[in-house]
Amino acid sequence: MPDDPLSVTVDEPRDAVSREWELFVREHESDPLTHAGSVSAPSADIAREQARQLFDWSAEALWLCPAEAVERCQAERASAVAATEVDEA
Amino acid sequence: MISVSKLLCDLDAEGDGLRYDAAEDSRKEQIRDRKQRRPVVVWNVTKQCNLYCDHCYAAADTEVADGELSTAEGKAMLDGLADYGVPVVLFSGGEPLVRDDLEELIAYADDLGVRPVLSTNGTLITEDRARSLRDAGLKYAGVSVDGLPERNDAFRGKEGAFDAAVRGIRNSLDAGLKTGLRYTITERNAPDLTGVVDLLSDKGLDRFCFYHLDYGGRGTEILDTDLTPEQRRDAVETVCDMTRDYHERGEEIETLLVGNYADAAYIVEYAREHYGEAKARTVYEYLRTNGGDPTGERVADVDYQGNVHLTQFWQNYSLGNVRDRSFGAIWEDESNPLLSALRDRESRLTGKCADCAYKAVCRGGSRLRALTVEDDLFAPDPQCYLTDEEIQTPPPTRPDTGTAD
Repeated sequence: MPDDPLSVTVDEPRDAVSREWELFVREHESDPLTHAGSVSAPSADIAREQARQLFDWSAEALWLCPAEAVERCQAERASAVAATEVDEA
Repeated sequence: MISVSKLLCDLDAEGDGLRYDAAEDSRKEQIRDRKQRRPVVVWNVTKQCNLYCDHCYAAADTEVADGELSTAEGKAMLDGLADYGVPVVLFSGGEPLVRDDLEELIAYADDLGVRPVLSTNGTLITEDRARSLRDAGLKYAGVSVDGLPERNDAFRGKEGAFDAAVRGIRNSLDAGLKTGLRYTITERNAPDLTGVVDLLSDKGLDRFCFYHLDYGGRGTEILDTDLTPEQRRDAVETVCDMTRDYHERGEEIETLLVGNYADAAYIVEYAREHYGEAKARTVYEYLRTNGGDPTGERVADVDYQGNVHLTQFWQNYSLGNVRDRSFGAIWEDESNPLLSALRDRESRLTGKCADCAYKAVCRGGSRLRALTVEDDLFAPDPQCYLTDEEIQTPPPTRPDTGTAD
């Protein structure tokens, strides 16, 4: 097992439309909070409103977090990024 | 997409395998089997554009934006689309022709067996560029024109855009590329619809796609120019009548309606009125196979930063990013309650959609428009123009199999 199995960091921007907000949803009180994509919005209030529109029919709880505040670490590069490394080699 | 020319005039076209399953009787090359069940993927390769159109769903800008997938990343993403069995990739933007690696990406997709097609404003298609696109393996170029010169140029924010687009269409056709029109119908340009078709068909164009306005990007800023229900019905009737007129004259143009599946019900009723019950039944069965609004199922979008969207118009919500995991993994992940609900939407639709006789061929139309206008994911599409009588009329069905037919 490698020393650091989650050694790959993905840090490219995701703000294609506006500031991006990672969205987490819990459907029932006993469920775990799960990632359910992201919304684009210039402020937390608007992000919350957009998330509510999308998930209020199913969610017991919604959490939002600015995407740039999330450290994305994983075991391997997804194929898109892996190819960049090959190209740059 | 709803092919008016196929449904009403029996025109045989290459895309029918995607829209109506195997199109068994077709003499044209068709997309079949596993690939029919995978989405067509729109890839906005850039946010940059040389025009600034009022209705741009991608809110494109004149400057290059940060975070575009590189050539190598794009190729790797195309590998992922091919592995997942995606049948078609639509290179879009912004304006995709501003990327100088576009031909390289098109050729790569073609080599992988993913059919490469293009959505462009046409103004940058020079003679040389048309030939290089053809040589790269491009299968189709859809050029956006939204009215005769005065209205189109106002819409597109640049004087001369109409003439430049028509030159691009001419260059594309001269290079031997299959080429078509993309026309977003609004109150402002509806009067130009037949004039544009007449003008461009004289120049050799034979494929015309008419889009209803979707409420994404800058499209949300011009909702006041959207058609009223009566105007929408008139516009769709115009497309149907025009298609029949052309075909009766022996000019076999291909016409398609895009983005509002109330059109499916309308065309069944149109067929019933003009051709009779048997034709209406055939049209209905085709449309039932087509399956109604494709959001989150048969169409997907990847933006220039790799964010995956439910449809190209729904840019302010993302399922995930191809830099984190593959497109196929994101698209298959039905732990996302929104994605799974959209794939099971018929049981969730409310209001007049809940009991609509045409639910199987429409599936509630645009969920994005319902969300934008009604603040309700499962409310009726505000663009639905069907009458109460129509949504209560039993659709034509196959005769009982127990009786002779």
